[in-house]
Amino acid sequence: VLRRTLRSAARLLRPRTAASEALAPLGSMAMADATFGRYDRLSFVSRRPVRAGLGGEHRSRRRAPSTDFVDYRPYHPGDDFRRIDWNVYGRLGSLQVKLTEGRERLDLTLVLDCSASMAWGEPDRLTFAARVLAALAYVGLARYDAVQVVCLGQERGATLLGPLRGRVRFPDVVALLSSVRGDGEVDLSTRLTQSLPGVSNQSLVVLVSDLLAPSGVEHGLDALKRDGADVVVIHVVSNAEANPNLAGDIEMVDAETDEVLEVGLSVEALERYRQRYQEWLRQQETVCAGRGLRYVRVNSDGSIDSAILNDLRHAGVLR
Amino acid sequence: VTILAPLALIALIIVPLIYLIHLLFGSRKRLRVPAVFLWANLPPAPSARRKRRWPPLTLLLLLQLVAAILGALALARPATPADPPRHLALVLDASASMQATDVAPTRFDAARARGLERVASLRDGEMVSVVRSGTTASLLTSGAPQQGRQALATAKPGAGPGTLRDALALASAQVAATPDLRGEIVVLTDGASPPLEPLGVLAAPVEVVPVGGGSDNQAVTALQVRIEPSGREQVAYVEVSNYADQPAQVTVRTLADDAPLDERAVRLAPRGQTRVSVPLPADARRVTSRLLGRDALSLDRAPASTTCCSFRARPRACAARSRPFRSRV
Repeated sequence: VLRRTLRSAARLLRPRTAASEALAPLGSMAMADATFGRYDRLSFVSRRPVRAGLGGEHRSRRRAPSTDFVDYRPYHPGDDFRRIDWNVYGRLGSLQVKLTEGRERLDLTLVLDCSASMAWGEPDRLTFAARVLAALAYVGLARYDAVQVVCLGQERGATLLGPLRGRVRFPDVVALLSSVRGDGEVDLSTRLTQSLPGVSNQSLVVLVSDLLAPSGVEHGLDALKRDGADVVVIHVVSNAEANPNLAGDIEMVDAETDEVLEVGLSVEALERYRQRYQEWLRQQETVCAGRGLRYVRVNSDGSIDSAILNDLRHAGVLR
Repeated sequence: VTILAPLALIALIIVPLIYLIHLLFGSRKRLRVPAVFLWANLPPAPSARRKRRWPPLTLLLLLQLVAAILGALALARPATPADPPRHLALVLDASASMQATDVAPTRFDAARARGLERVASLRDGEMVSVVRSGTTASLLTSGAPQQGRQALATAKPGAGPGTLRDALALASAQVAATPDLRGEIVVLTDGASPPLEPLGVLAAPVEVVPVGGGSDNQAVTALQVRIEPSGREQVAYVEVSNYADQPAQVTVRTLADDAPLDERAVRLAPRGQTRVSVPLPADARRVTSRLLGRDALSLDRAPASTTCCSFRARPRACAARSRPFRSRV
């Protein structure tokens, strides 16, 4: 109890977080454009028809008056005369109506896991995840999507921002992400079922997390699935976690629960751990695939460009 | 070595506490990991089978133990008696008896040499005070050892009785003026002074260093002329004293107006005295009496003179008693 109290006090007294230092330069739009400007042409790919309202830049499955020509179809009584293509009638002698495609906004919810395990590593994964989330928010805001940012922590609960539209709101996103810190134990399953208001079957939910929960995250993902949301799970991993360089007798302290586990590490035990870790990664991928969710694994030791332009594009989250 | 604050040794309990902390927490490296469930139930290493092991004697543990021990000992304030600097107060007996030659060249010079030896044993930063015990007690110097050496070198013996009591009081006052120095009073004397009156508590212990003594010493201690009741005759009474511890026989010669008048042998008991009466001529105007032979104190062989009227001769200073002694005053 004393240890937890001291850790909580230390967390409260900590003046700045690594995430705040990493994201502080993005507070101005000029810097944000300079940093994320190369993501201007990217947009999210949703498996659901988007219906957050007209005015976005996502192709809609609905046929709506616009300048974006899609196809012709024969005229039926009741159709608007103004949509008859008279040039076709003059050439073919039949009445054809021009079909156009509406452009709609995407309802985008970006969820950041702010548990203490995310703040582990050097550099810590939370900073990397916050920068990835900022880049995704930039992409969404640049496409006039309705962007909602949710940070899941222990002490501060779920912090919500949005929906926001337009790049001018990007500094708000940076301000929120600059304040995040690794925050104790977060039960992702419970939080995902409770803290995501407004998620519908038209939403695209992007979860950025390390998925480290002893009880798993299946229930939370099932809840999102029940809402009909299109879910993308971005799994943040690190090399130090996959290939630890440890030996001897060690007291392992859980970053979230402060649970202590005494282990004596031999070569055999380390090899066994690596196998177990790879099995666990495959299990997370299977959990997502089994629910029809898109799963992307990004390495926090890599660059943001690599995560956005390679991992997420190859996974079909962005195009 | 003495411990000034022995209760502070309780702080040594920190030493086993440090070892206990290393035993409980120091044997294993603590490491924060994102989640421990991935590390559970791994095949244990052979070294991990025992939960508690004696902590290895690492440099860190050793330094912590040494620091704790030294800290506790420092709190106990260990001290050595020789640590504080000294203030040496030398009382130099400058009475007439110190001119006795039974110690070459004189007792006073021997006392001066003893004093110089004591001053030579002082270290830098220590003090010396030299008090001369003549007819009056006087402070010759008080300061560095070099000043003490100069004062001893220039000191001269007196021709009268010593005032050892006043000299001791003066030396004690000098020592009391420097409470941060360890005081020490050394009296360089032949011990030929009368018993001292009580002085009270002095500021430092006193060591008496005897110089000379133990030789034959007799003297004419009084010469008195009385007129017979008839008014026609007068008689000289010569008082002869023996300050030696053994019997002595001396020859007393009496002169009247520088003309030999009487010469007789006198037997003296140890530390005894006797009176010799010598009838004088009626017209004698000056009487002189002296002892013949050699004496340790040359002054004792000087003639005692008086005019033919009643007077008490100036008592000669006595020579030293033969047994040396050390005492606290």
